[in-house]
Amino acid sequence: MERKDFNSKDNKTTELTTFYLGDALCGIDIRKIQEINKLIDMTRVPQAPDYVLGVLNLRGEIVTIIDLGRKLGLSPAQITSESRNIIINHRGENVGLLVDRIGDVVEANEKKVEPAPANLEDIQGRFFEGVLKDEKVLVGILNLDEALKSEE
Amino acid sequence: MIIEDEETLQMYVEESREHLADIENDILAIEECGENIDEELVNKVFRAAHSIKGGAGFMGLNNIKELSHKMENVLGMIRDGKLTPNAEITNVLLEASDVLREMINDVQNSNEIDISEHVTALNAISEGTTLLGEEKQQTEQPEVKDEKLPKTADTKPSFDVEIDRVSKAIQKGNFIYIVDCDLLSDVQAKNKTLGEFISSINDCGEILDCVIDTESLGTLEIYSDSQPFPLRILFASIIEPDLITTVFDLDEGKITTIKDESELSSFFEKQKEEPPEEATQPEKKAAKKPVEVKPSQEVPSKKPDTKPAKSKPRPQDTKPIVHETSLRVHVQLLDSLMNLAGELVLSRNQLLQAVGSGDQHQLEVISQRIDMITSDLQEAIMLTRMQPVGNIFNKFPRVVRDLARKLGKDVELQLEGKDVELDKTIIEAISDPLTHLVRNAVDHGIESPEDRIKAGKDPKGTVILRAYHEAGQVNIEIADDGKGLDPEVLANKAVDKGLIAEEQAKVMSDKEKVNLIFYPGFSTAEQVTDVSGRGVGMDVVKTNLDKLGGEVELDSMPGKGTTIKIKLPLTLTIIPSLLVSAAGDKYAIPQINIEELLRIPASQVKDRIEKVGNAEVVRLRGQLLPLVRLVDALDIDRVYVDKKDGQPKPDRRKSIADRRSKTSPYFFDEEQEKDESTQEVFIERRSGIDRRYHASSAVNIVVVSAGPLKYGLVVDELHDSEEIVVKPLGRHIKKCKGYIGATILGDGRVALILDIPNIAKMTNLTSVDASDRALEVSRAAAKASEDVQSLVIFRNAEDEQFAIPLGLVQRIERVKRNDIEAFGNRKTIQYRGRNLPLVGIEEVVEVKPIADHDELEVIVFKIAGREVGLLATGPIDVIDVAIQVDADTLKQQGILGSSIINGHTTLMLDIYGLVQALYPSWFTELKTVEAEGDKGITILLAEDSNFFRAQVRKFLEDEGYGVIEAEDGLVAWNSLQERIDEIDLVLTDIEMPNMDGFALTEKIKNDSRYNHLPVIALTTLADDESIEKGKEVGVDDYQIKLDKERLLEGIYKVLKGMSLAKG
Amino acid sequence: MIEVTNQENEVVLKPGGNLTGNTVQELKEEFLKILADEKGTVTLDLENVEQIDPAGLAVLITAQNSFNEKGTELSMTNANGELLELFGLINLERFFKLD
Repeated sequence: MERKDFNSKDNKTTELTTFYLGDALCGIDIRKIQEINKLIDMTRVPQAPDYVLGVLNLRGEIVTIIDLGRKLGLSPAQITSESRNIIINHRGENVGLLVDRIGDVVEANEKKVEPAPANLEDIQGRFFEGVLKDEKVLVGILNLDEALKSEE
Repeated sequence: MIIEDEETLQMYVEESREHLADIENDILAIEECGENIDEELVNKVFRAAHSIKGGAGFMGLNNIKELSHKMENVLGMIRDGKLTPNAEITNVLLEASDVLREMINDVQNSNEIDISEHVTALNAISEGTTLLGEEKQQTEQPEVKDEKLPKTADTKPSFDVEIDRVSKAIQKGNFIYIVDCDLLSDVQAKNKTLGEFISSINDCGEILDCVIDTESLGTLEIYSDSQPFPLRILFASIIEPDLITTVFDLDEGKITTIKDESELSSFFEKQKEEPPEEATQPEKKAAKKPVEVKPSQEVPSKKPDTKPAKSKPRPQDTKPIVHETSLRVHVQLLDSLMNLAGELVLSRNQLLQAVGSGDQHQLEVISQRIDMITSDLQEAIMLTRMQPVGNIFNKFPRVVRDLARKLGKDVELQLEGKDVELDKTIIEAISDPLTHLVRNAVDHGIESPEDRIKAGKDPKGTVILRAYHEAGQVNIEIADDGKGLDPEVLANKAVDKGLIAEEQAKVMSDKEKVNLIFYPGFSTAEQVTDVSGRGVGMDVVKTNLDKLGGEVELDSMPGKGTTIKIKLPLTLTIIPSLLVSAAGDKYAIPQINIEELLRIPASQVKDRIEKVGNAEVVRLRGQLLPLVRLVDALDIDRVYVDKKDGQPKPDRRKSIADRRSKTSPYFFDEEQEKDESTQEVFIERRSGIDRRYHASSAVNIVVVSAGPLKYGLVVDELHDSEEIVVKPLGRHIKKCKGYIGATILGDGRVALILDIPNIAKMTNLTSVDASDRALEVSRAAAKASEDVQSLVIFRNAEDEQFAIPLGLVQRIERVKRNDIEAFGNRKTIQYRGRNLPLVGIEEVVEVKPIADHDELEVIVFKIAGREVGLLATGPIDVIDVAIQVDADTLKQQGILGSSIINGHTTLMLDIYGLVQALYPSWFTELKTVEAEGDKGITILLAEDSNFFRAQVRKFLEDEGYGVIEAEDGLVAWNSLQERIDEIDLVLTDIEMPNMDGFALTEKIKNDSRYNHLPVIALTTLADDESIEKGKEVGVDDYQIKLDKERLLEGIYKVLKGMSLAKG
Repeated sequence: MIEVTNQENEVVLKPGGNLTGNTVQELKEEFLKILADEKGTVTLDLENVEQIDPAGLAVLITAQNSFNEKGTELSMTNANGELLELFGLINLERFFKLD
């Protein structure tokens, strides 16, 4: 359940898990996140869209792993020891988002949220619900529906 | 406004759906009854409409309320005998119920749906303003009654009421009363007002009529309030006579009970004349009737075909089936599930303990137990998804009725086996194909009544839709007694269309010709009519069924009729499959698509694999089979093997010369970081069309079929057959055409399940030449020669089933439990003057102990030269069945494997293993013959069943023999030609495709190069006929496949004989 | 209490309440007066009448009889729904001249 208009909610703060996609610091509502894993063996899926890295077995369920950066228009991810898989539940299905590096948990007071700019570090603004200014950093709050829209 | 409460709304929808479930068939049944109205039935439908109406009002579902209300009216009239349901009325009701169903299924939008025409139609019926149909008209007697009553002292004013009203009231269970009261003494004196008095009566029933003799009251001038004021009421009420006085608060004498209409006549004094304008039949009852009610039977003229302003034509074809998202499950099944869950918990606890204590043996035992429980659990859960096939059968009476009427035919549909259960998904999936087949039967099968009469048939055609279980599958038959199909006509058509070659047509049997109808492109313009659907051919039906793992076949007798038989697996979600690997990954191929496995040895690659145009093909028994490389079909990247971990990794290099960068994109290995140089070894280049088959590697081909199309899928390696659980792929991958799902392997990794038909499409695989179609024919022929095994089925514990080949059994005896003697843990029984040792399965195998019956069965075998009896319980059955044996699950000492027979998990008993475990001293080493030189003996084993081949090979190898396998006679013959030097003995099955055992033996014995070889024939059914034939062709010995001991003995003897002869 | 309105050729009788008890007696007397009087039409305004008791009905019926005999018209108006229904149930709606 995405909240389209972050600012219209009543005065509550939520927590965001943040992570890096390239140079962009993005955030997702922590309640949407099932778990965060290191990368484990995946089975690749030939013929799947480019951004699909593969599938893996998560306690009996077949979960699709997506190179989130690539999906949002960045170049393919470089796997490092810091890469992580963020498993979220989106539209009734568990999906894994491969990200470059996990950041801190950030408190989001909706008063500090502003509309997304046209571009956030090479990622188009349409993928964000808004941006949060936290200390000196800018956190782009992901619009999961838009980000995970399956193309074609 | 529609009620907001989701839950209540949902409940209402569920209930309404239930009400509507049978409504269609009930309405049809009402039509059948015609004038003999089955009031129960009409009431049932009435109540359904009534309930729906009631809830609808509450929910704010105005359209639903209105429509159901109108239906209720019409149904009420039918029930009351005011209407005779005929075809037109039935149609209106059916259509209204359709719309009602639509609205229930889309409640939120139901108020927007236009129901006006249905309402109008229903109104027209209930108001009798339509010329459609027959109506019993209640003739209201117009002002024929006399205005003035002849006033005589003893003339009591009579009632003016229609006899029918009275009759109806009586029919409904009312009592009829005539109340004579005096308003003065009975009402006034009691301080009641008139209104109160009348209301209290009206509330308890119905005032049919009321009479006040106004005349007798006289004029005002003479009126005195002490004069009597008589009032007479004709009253109908369900209140019984003994209680009725309290209603009126009157003395009994004033109330007269009327038992039936005829008694009324005495109360009627007015004579009525027959109204002249009605040409009617006189009432049969007593002549003196003030009211003549004439049920006017308007004999309707033959209904014109063009109906006045009726609703649009039924859009049968385009109506989608709405599928339920909930299930009904038998409570017993849920109990089973609970039990199994409980057992699983217990076993898990045991497991944890055993793991903690490190008891290896205990671990094995427990894992066996958990294995069984899991199987049972799996079975039980699958059963919950089983729904009766009647769910879709039930819509067909309507389909047939409407279609038959439209085509002017008379067709009766019979349904059998409505209770047969199928997995929910399969039921949904066969709905469309079945509809097509049923419509076909009516459209093309059944002839018009005239034609049928000419052919000497009953003008009414019959279509039978039948479902039944057989051999672990569900069969559905659609049989009609129509004109059937002419095999010659079909064959000619197929040849004309280039689907088969003329030569093939010549060798086809009638049955094969008639099944040509399933080939794509077969439907001709004549056959495709608007009614059955344009372009929806039988081939689509077949493809759909293939996808489900089902089969379809057609049988027809020209002039007599056609029967279409569909076989379906019981469930979808667990399928047997073959695991293969390509480019380092494992994939699963559904068993249902697999025809055979082909391994082209390196040396034959050049000969057998050719190119036709752009496509690669392999020669298979004289035919050309197109080849598809799995890596190409899926466009898999090239691989290389990382030397560090031996894992194949995707290769992104553009040329061989590029060095790999340190990080690998998918598989992160910490150690790799530290490694300076990663050595790569390139396995094989896989790219484009200009690939060459490497001379040093054999080629593994899985021959698969996708509908009528057959091709060979080239893979790297073949692995085991496994039953796998099909899991759905996520949204992002669902679109990929190559997969039908994924599964989780034993090691936890994911394997994608290939979609064989789609892969064919993806590689633009079209038939290489027309002879591919003929492969279909040969396939049909091959199927006929499947291995059928005679098995003895029995139990140990009541709910665990076992099987053993019949050929091994000496005899079966029944004994009394009390007669069994025990010595230590050995059991024996006195039998024919000797002690017969007894063994129980549970002594060796981890299964439940034998049931506690007074009488037990003993299956007697001969093992290691001695007789031994196996304890068992009934029911003992002998069945002939072509079984699929799973040799991996449930394997342990004493068990060969498991299979599903008659719907039960059945363990295949290894009697040798069992006895060996208990009486190892019986077994002495069987000698093996020393061969010349240092070569061991090699046996050529020809056997098409993978299971048996594996089993026999195993015990041959255990004995030290070398084994060369061949999966049919032809392959064996080829192997013989190539490797004659190695082979010492031929062991051959009889029933095999392409070349059976007899033919092979004959060839061998007639060929001077090979006739020195002894040939032993393996069989499952050792009947005299086969033995004779075997002798004729020169078989040296006959053995039963799983009778290991005798087989080895036989081989030994024959070889010994040979070597003696030589030496 | 019955309100009597004399007009040209018509007398309007309007009971102040139900036709029960004493009112019935009153009505009877009014009717008798008019009958004796050879006047023309009589209209009974039932606006205020909700209930009638048997005596009241008897009076109405016998009055109607008398007027019929005499040839003058007795009509009733403004009967409310319940009254009309009642008359219907006991089949008097044609006997009386109701409008």
